[in-house]
Amino acid sequence: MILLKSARELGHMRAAGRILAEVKDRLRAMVKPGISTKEIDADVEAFIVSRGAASAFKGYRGFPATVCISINEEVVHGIPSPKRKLREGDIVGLDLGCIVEGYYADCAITLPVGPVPPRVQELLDVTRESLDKAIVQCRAGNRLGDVSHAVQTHCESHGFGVVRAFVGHGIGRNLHEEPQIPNFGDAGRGPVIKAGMVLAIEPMITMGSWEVRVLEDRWTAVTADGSWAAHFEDTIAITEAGPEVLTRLDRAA
Amino acid sequence: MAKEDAIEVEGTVVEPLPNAMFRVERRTVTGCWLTCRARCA
Repeated sequence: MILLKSARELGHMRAAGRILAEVKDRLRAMVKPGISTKEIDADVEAFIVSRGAASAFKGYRGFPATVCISINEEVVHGIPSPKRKLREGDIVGLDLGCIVEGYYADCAITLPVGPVPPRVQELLDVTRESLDKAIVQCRAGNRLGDVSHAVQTHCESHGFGVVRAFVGHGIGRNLHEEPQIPNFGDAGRGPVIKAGMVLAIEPMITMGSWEVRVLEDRWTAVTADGSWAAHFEDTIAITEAGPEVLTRLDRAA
Repeated sequence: MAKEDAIEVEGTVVEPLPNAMFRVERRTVTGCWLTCRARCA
């Protein structure tokens, strides 16, 4: 069942989303060669706590950190480590969530560490654009397939792979609620989108094939072919007036 | 955090397994039987 959120519930999720939007700005300033992924995680956790919120991921099904940090061929769910330092030319996916008054928000960005080759920059740009195109489809009366289809067609038209094994999701009192939101699918299919739904949409896009595998740590998902991957995510509330992106400072679509 | 993709199909439980897992058989469109492990929803 897809749970609709009241104005009161949306208020808490808006507060959680605003904290994440501020974290994204911190991350853009922090991501530099030499910093360890553990240092990034510790800074973000301290910031979230200082704002009176709680980490959504720490302890979630045993995940040991606040931020999932996934570098290069790592797609999602990388575990921060003091030994893993960012290097110039890497791309780093940063995925995090927080909880305010029992309500969740969830977001991700992928940043280049210094200059990267043009095709890698294109991967980042196209993945971010596909999320924007998905958000435009988040209107009452559309179907979820319209959202999925927007991501898939944009990314595949640029020759990139769309990961199948992980999906976006509804969000609210739980990190993962119904519905599942694949990044592939047919327009005009799936559940009808209604005002009051809140969706976490998260394209996971590769420079090669869509196939992934999970490492021995049972969390880190990497591309099967070693190609690099990008991941962007926002939490979007469906309102009568259209989509409201809760995890951006400029919340219009 | 991304959710692991899960699909929903109907099948017949043929054996209970540890950790709330079950061995489930399902007839496919070609008439074959598929045996898989499934978690209770």
